[in-house]
Amino acid sequence: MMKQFVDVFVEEASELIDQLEASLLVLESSPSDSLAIDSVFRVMHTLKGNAKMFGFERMGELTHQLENIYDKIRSEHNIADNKVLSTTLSVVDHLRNILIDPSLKIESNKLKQKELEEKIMGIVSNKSLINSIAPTGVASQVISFDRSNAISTYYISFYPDTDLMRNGTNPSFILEDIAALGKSKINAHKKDIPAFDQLDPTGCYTYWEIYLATNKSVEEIEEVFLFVQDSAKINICRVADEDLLRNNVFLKKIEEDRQQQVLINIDELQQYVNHLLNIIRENSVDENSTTEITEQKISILKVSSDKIDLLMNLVSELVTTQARLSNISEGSNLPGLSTVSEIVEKLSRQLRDNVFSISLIPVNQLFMRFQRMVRDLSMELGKSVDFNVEGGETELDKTLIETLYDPIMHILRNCLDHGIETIEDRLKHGKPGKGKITLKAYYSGAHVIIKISDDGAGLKYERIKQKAIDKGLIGVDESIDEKELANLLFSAGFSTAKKVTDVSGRGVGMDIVKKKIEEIRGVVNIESSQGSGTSITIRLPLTLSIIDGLQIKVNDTSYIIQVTSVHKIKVVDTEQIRNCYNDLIIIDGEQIQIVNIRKEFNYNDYQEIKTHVVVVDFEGTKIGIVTDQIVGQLQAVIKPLGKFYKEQEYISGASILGDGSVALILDIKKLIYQSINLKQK
Amino acid sequence: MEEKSNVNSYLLFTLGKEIFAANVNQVLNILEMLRITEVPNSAPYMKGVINLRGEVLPVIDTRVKFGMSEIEFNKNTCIVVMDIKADGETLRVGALVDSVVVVLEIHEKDLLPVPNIGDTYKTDFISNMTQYNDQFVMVLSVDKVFSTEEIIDLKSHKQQTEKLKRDTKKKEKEQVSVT
Amino acid sequence: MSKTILIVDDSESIREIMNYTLENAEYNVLVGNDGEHAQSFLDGTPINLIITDLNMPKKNGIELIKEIRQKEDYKYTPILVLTTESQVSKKQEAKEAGATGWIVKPFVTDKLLSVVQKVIR
Repeated sequence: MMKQFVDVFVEEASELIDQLEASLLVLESSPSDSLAIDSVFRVMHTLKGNAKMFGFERMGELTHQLENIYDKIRSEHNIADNKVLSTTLSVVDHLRNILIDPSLKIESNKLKQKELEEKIMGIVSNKSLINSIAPTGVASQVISFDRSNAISTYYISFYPDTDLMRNGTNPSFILEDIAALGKSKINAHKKDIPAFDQLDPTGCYTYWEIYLATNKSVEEIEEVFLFVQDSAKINICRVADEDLLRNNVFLKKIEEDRQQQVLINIDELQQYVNHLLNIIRENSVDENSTTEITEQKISILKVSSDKIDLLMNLVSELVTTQARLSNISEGSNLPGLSTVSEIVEKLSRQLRDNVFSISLIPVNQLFMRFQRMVRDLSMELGKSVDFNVEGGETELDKTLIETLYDPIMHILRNCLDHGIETIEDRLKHGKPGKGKITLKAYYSGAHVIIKISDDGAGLKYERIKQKAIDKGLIGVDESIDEKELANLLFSAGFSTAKKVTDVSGRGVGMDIVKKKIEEIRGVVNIESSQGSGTSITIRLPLTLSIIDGLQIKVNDTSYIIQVTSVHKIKVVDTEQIRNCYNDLIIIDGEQIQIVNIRKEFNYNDYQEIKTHVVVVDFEGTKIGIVTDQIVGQLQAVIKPLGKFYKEQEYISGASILGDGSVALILDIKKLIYQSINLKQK
Repeated sequence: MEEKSNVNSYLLFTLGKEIFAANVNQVLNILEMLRITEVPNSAPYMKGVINLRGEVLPVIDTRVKFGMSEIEFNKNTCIVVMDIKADGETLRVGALVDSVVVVLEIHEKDLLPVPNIGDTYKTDFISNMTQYNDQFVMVLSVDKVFSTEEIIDLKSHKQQTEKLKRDTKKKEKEQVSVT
Repeated sequence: MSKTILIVDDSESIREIMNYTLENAEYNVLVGNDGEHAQSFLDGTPINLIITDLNMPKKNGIELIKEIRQKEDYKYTPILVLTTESQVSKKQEAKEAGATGWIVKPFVTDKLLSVVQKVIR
């Protein structure tokens, strides 16, 4: 099985498992919800079928048994009781584990599998489902090699029903398949054809007698007739353990039979053959048997990440070179060049997408894993929480995703434990009883931002300050603003929870979170306003990624901005920009705040008469980005600017253009944010 | 007979009137001038970035780095691509120089120590001094020069050069008087 | 001219592996995500074979087969159903609805092709 398909399966299976979990959670609150039961059943069914197909036998077994349980519940309009639900939920956890460890190499998985199988059997016997449950697992596929390689001769008669062809069966294919098994002689016979007015034009009025010399078994021959077994009379009979179709005497007999339309009597045939064989054996010749070499194909490859990195670099170089080729072809009259260039473009795009997808996975796979934890924990803490996930389709490198699990887990635990207040407290403060936690991912230039926000109590700055003073992190009289205070939370050994719970508040937490995120070259930030919530932002670099960008020019330098948020592009008189009041200009009758890149970067005013303004959406408001000129849209391979520019705030990377020059990737959101913030101050 | 192991090759280049040397082990490539993309809001000596075979390479105006005036491009201007080690990492960087002189084999015995001129200012950046065509050459500790964020004050090095000149002359005189 | 095969399955992995295998064998492949979606292809487009899953959220395979057999254009188009294990009753039900044959999951790609070649050339 090819790795790519196993990957799709694993991805799909984890989605199905997430879906399963969601349905189970519904069932937990309303055990008779028939839609949820249906959904559980269907997921189990799909998992069962697919798991076995992709070599996840253990998963297949568990889901097979559960499918039966839920089928029973469904058909008998029963409810899924607690025991069934809790067992299924444990299975859900276990399924996730064995998705990574399908052959149960890890001891604990092996034990868990056994435990769960027993639990399920317990439920099955309890529910007297035993009769309707098939034995565990399907018979494993046994592949047997017929080593003998010996050829036998068969006589086959195939007498189809008249309406054989009505289901889309074509009898000539069957005859071809038989012929493909070895050497054959086929005699066709006409059935009694009915009177013309009763004749069905789609009916089958022929039957066949076949002599077949083959090394295949009877079962393999029967296989050919698999789909027509119950719409035809089929008789397969081995008449000799050798190839009679090499024998001219036998061939002559077959031919005579055919011409005279003789119907074969199997006993007579066998007698004839036995007689013939005696004669042949007297002149027998030894045959050298050849050994078949079966090749084992390698279908799953483990590739070192270095090789993938190299491949990625080569591919991005190819993409850049291809852009150059497009440039050349546009300016050239050479016949055929544009076609070749287009094909190369298409191929390199496909290649690029494929290579990139090797290591990119949507963050949803990570996010879904938190649903359950949030639910369990909020119940445990007696809090009520709406957990929202946004931007799950944002893709990140697999290794980054794995590293992020623990930090995000910890942040979410903190949100639940310290952030969200108890229902009573919330109501007391005029908030809805149900808290809200949002986990959100989005692209920002060459970065992916993951934001975890809650509408809880927010940081208690006074308490943090006191604690920081107690711990000697700051002096008693030191003036420190809220932002600095908030970031003290990331210092080692800092915890302010009054009551130490086993959830968080063990004092190792936020510092580890920070460390982990920094390990993957990310930056973590916390913002909070007392009383109305906290949000933690994790900013992760994409060392190599592709964006759909808009190429612009400012001060003779090419920049690329991400186009996801571009609203429109307008040509405006430079004069209007120069003379605008409070950075507001009118575009299409609408007053729009502008951010002038030249101004932000301390360049001189633009000297041309016309300037280009890109109107983008920024957190719901329209902002006009003032550029010199818009060059066009492009796909840009993002390259890091490197350590020498680590202080760079607004440039998140660079990209190489078709003409070989370098364009800078402008973090437009950050630029707008800073520009507007500064103005307000 | 000279021991081969005591000989190292150095790339000699000029910044203004001064000659500097960098061990060729760290030099990857010498590029002719090509279009540099300026990066806004960056350190004054960071000239910008170029495309080096598909990779984005930061380019440093070495003159500015050494407290001289900004480089003026002419046909001799070159970018010396080097691998430098900083914080256990290898970083690739391009250094703009006024001109490249020669690759020279220098015997270890011809590498003179950097003279101490009292409370020296950042002698770290120059590992040795040597001579080429009667001119003094400062052998750079490339790793240190390009990994620091500060601008290196070359005036103090000039003083060092002067002192070395004086010392050498004195030594020569002494040698003359001995013979 | 290459033959056109419509595959209908709600499972992406199965769709992908079938699509890949069949396209590699130079068939034209149409892909339906479920019974309902599959119907949008059944508008007279020449289709040489239909492979459908039985258990699907929107319109199951049996219903789909019955509806296909009602259409003049696809009355005799071979239909293969995907069944898990050897559920005799399901196979029988599908045959009665008008299916030509079946493919048993799990299958290997060679097996898929050999079954397909049983019904179209």
